Amino acid sequence: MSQPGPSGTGASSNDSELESFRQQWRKESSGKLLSSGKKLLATEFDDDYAQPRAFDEIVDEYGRVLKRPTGAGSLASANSASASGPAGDEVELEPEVKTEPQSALEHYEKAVEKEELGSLGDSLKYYRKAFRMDSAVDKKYRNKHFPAPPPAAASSSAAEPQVEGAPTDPAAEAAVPAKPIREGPPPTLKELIMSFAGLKIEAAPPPVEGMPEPPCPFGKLPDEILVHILRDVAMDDVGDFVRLAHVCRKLAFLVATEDGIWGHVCAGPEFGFASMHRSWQRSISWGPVGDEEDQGYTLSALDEKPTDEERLRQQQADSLKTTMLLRKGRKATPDSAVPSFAPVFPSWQRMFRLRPRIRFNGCYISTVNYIRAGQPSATLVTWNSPVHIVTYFRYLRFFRDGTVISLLTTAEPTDVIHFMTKSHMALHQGGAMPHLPSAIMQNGHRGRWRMSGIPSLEDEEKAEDEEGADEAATEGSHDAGASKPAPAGKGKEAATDAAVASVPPSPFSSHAAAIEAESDLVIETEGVGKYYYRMELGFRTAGKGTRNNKLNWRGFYSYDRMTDDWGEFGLKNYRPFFFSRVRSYGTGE
Amino acid sequence: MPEEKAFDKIPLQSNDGSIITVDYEVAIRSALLSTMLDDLKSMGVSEIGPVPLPNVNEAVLRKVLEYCEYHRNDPLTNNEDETENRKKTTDISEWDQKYMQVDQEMLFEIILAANYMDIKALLDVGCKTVANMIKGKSPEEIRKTFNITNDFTPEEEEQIRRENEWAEDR
Repeated sequence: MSQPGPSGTGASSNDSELESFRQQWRKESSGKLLSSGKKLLATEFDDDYAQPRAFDEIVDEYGRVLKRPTGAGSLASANSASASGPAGDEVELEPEVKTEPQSALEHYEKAVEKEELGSLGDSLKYYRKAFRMDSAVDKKYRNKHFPAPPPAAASSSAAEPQVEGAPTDPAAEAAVPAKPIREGPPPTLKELIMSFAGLKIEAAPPPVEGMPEPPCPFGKLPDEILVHILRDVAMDDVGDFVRLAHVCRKLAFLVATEDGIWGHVCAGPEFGFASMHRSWQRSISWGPVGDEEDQGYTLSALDEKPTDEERLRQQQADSLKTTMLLRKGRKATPDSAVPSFAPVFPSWQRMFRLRPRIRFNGCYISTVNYIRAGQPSATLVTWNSPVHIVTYFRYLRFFRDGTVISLLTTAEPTDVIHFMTKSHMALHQGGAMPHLPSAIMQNGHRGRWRMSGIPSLEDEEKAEDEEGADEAATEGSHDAGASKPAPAGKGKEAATDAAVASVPPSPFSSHAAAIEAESDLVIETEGVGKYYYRMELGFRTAGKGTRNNKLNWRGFYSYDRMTDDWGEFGLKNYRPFFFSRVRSYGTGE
Repeated sequence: MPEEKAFDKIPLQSNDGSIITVDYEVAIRSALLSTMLDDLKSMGVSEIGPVPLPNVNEAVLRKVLEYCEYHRNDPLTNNEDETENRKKTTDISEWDQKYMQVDQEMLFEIILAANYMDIKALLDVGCKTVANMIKGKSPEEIRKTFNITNDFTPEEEEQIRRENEWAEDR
């Protein structure tokens, strides 16, 4: 198994942390200032590293620039890169903190930031310093960033009726903890929005009193044109559209009530569900689907297949049908055996928010951070064993055509994300142009992705057969190895798909069920040499507002093309992927 | 669409009284005029007097007709399919971009005129232009750009902000 292993072994300064802790303890117990003699003692042990100790600085002078351990040649890229300070000049990923922290709270914030970045060593320093300056700093931090909701909000939200068609399923209820956010303190948001009805966009007052009002042509537009403009904005960037609600009451009213705009967004390909592919669109190496090296398609086989365009159109029609069913529900007709059901999502806005979807305007990053005990040096007298802090990153960028770039590296996001493009992949294929900063992409793997889907109702019966045949066609003989260590390949999935279709909790019964049915993501990428990799991920939610912005690991497998063997990677140190918006991608490709 | 032209030249009258005469192909860019001319023809009218456009002044009318003139040979699209196509062609052509480089008041007048005269393509371009002006701006910047008053109370603003937090994909 030649999975690219964790390569960033930051021989961090953990040993010296112990050292500094000892110093600190002595200092506190004796009540004396740190003497230079002890400092000498401290460095004695570390002769071999011969580096200025950052911890000395911490003890000595608060709020000053921290000198990072330099000259530690053994530091691998990840940690040294982070230790060398804010490296990139891009701002969207990590807000740069150019100024050094002064107060305890600032130190704490800095520490959190470093921790998020994966620089545990730096983070520890800041945490320590922050607590030294103020032992209650964590409470301050919590108060600042996660203020407790006013008690009125909590109680009123519990007492009030739900804004939209309330989910009857208790499980669904539990799956939507976002409700309290929607319901503010009195007046409720809905009342607030309704009170904005019929208002106009007001012109700004003149800069000098008495002057004629500056023109506000925006306010003269009739609603239908405003809606038209809002729709254009929404198709381009949903965030921009929603932000318009903050401009004035009239726009807030329109953004909240014009659900048709959300309908366009949901049905459209830019952000909506038309681009959520439920089947493979490409081969692993980005060729047309069915063009795998190990499949040997004959011309006649290709002839029988519908053209890519027809297939795509069919899939989009199916996708739209599912989308409409989820939103509109279904009325039973006398000649149809399919039961009727209520709309799964009460509004387009809810659907857009809750239904799993891939984002194309950024990339997904998994930061892996773990500590590994090292061997003490045989030739060196030390009190302690070295500890490696390992940091590495997995990056995934998805494309609307069903392809994906996967990259495993120790390089930090700022050095990577802007190069996660198909053109850079092509440029550095086979290790070409190694002198460019984008050369990191030579390690990128091409791949493809698909999500699990809801089988359409009419096809429910034949779905099982077709799925099976389809899988066999696209997946070759992978299934043959059902007894192999990773039977989770196709076989399992076909089974789950079928189960979803036939087992009682139909995806159309509640939105929790619908979301569940669509929450699987499968990625297949090229691997080292003769291997393909297969990642199985699931949509999850991180943070309080945004949903489905996190991808959890479900399984990770390798497939040997030569021997047709499946192998499983252990998921010991794997961390979920989190989505990060990248402005340079625009709306994505 | 009618096979032969109903009329050769159409005189149009703006609300400030000036009369601009345009070719039939130019006039029928406007669905309002197109329908009207069809009706007149079916009623057997052969001569046509100035067509009043009470919502449009001369400057705006000239500007609008400039657009119609340039696009006179474009295929006339069916209104129903339009919404589908429009979504995909989000970019504005170079000529249209240049055409839309006017002051804000004129831009909005054009949009209103296009709406009144039912020139869908022009309305789309106009709205798209405004949308581009909104793109990537903060609420405060948008207010500044369009001279809009912030009529929220601080509490309301906070409530709206909390409600919409989820959409800020970061």
